[in-house]
Amino acid sequence: MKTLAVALLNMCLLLAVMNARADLTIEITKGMDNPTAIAVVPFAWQGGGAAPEDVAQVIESDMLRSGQFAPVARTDMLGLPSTQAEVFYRDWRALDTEYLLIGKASPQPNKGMRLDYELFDVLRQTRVFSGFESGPASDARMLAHRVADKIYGHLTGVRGAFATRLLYVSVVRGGAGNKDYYRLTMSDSDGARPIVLLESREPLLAPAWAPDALQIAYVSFETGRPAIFRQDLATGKREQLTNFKGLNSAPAWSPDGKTMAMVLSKDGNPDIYLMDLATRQLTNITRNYAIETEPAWMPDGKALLFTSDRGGKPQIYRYELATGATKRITFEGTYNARARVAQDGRNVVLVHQKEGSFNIALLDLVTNRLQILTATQLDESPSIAPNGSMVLYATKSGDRGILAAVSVDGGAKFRLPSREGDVREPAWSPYLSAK
Amino acid sequence: MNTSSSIYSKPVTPRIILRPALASVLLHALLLVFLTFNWMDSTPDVITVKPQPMVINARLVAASELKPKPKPAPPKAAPKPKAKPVAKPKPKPVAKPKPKPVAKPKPKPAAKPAPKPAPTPAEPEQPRLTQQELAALTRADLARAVAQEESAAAAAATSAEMAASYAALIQQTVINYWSRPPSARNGMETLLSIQLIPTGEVVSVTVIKGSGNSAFDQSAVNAVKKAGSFPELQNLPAREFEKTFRRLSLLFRPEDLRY
Amino acid sequence: MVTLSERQIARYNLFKPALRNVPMKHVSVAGKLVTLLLSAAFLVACSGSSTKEDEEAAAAAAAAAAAAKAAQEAAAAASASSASASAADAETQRLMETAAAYGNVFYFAYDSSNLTPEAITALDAHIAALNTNNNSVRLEGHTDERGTREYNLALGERRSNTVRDYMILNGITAYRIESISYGEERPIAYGSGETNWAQNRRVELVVVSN
Repeated sequence: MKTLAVALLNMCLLLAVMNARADLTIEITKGMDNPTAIAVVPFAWQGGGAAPEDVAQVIESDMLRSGQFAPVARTDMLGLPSTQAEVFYRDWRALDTEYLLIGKASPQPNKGMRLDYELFDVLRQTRVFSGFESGPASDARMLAHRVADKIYGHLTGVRGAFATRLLYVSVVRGGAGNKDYYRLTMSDSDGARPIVLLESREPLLAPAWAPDALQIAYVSFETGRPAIFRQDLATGKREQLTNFKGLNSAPAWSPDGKTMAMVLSKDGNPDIYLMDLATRQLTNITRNYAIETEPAWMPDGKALLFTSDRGGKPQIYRYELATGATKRITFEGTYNARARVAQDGRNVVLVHQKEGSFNIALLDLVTNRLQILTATQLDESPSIAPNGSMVLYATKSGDRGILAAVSVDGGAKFRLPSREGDVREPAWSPYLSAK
Repeated sequence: MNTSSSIYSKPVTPRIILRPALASVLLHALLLVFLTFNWMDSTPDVITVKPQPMVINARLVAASELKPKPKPAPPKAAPKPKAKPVAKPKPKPVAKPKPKPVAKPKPKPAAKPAPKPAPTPAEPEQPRLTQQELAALTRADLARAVAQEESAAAAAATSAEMAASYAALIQQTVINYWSRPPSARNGMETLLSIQLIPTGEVVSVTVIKGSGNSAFDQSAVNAVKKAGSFPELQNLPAREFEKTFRRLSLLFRPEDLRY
Repeated sequence: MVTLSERQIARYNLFKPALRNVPMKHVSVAGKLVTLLLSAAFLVACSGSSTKEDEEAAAAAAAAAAAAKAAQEAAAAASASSASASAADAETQRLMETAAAYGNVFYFAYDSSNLTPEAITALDAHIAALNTNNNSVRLEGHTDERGTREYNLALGERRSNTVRDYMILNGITAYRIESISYGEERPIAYGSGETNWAQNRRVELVVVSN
């Protein structure tokens, strides 16, 4: 009996050992993305003469700048279809294209233009999406950006932000002993079609968009002292909002457009004030002897982020409007300032200094993880796209100030075309239309 | 002869001997149970390999820098001549320096060379390798790294260390082949079960739990299929292979995406 | 027959000595290397900051030396011309020229709004000159380009306020002083590097005659 028991036990052990398996689960949390290959075929112009604008080029550049798409070169294209009947999928499969965009541009009455487009899945050989955009022919580039937004939105699931505008300040030096020229400029999101909104011999800074994208605010030294102005984009009408002693700076529109946060030092040291735009009543929200500046609204309008050096060096703090509670939210690095919040309320871009160089960093408010996005030395003024995908910022290239952009995952980078003089203080507009 | 006393004379009444019979049946039953029962659910020995947090800062490797090293130096991005096709990459419309992190896992604490500085954004264009070439380079590197560490401490490695080391190799290989679709989002999860044979070849891939996004699931399956095989597993002792790598799970859950 | 467990034990004993040695060796080498790298980085970082301070000290010392030399020459010239004018006018003249000799720019250290001893000496001269008349002054604060623009506006104001407070403390009435900050918007020296930055960290005193 004992032998039997022993034999039984050994058999059990043997079988258990033989069958026991370490259960291995390997987590894959990163990848090496290939940008999606897309062919944007030049749109066929239905009118007479040459097309007023190469809309396909605008769309192609938008897709390329996002870093997530790799457009096929036109010289590689084997055909230039503009209707579904003209599409031969094997021509596009030969180029390893995944998606194909074709279209037509046609003139409309009253100097209008209409873009019709169709998007095809080359591997599945089906049309996946189509639509049209119409508007004034002089706005052809913006129509093209809207098409790019639709394509980007359909393929990534995220609304495109190509049909948006930028504000920035361009400075041309006046030469030895002369004052510089400051120009507040507005352009398309790719830097095209710059329009000078204001020119001054005194400094201009801190341009800010109203949430409806119809008004802007900025700081101008034209009165001899820094003052906050607001300007209507359609009419050009300006209004000086503040004229206090000391600093009047850093205007920030609330998400509902009714309140302007600003920095005033009229009471002795720079503090954040909220101005009701209807009544002009002021409320001080940071009574503190330190420097408080650079307010930024959270997208729900219930809290503000701001920079304060109450702890010695500039760090980012958060103020809750309902309770008045203030708490610090940045703890890494020696200097954290000028926060801007993405529409998702979770990603915050800011200027971060660590060991000497000033970089743009992304702070995730949920995980508290800080990720440095740039590798140059003197980066400042980050502004985040309304879809949260890219960050525009000012930096230096040699001695010149330039604008550059980086995606929030750090993968895609591009520089805006260089202009005369120094370019600085970019501000990315909100979406220009409701959808 | 006395026939009455011979054992062959009397008819023998067959008698079932209870205890040995019972024991025999029980043993056979137990045998069947042990052979067929799925032990995986009950063993607590689960190894979840997460990506190593410490990663060497990688430098974009220019194709011109790749020369064969004469000695088995510490792992650098310099594969053997026959392992890499140094072809000029396809000219892309705008050559932008997009640093692809070539992360190397550290299965054991070993002295590695100081990290190389990351590239500055204003660099002139460097010849860019296709994903295939880069993946092949990384695999060659990893294979050599694992082989060296193996030879240095082959017999001494505990089973867990070995498993972790080869798991990290599989992980990094799959990472290099995983291209996510534009609709992928951080936090999406797809669980695959793959079956390997001792040569390292993947013989089956199945989706156990999908993410709800078919393009995302397909990209995970494609990553494993493109990887194809992990020949380095041939160096594993058979027992280790059977225990851990015959059938394993891959959980695809991106954390590095833009959205 | 040898049971399975005994076989296992035998194999483990065979490999135990090797198991003990090899991982240890790797750790000690790695540990030494890490320590070496960290101490090297630490030394580099320390030496880096001291160089900056040396540069700033050198720049400030050079400015002070030049100002002192100019003051000496001016004082010599002033005393020569005072003989021909009345005593009071001569005194005023002397004070104005002394103040002018010091220059109307006061420099600051990085990220600081504290007055340096050189700045205090120069300010004293200006205060003395201002006490002889009813002029107003405009103090314009500036910073170097590092850091964000709005924070630098505030930092520039802190600097000009420090100068203003010192003047008020020494008898100049508050309504005669206007304190403005230009932040990093109006640099004297364009370009990066400490030589440029040191010239931009300043408060400029502009006399507005009444």
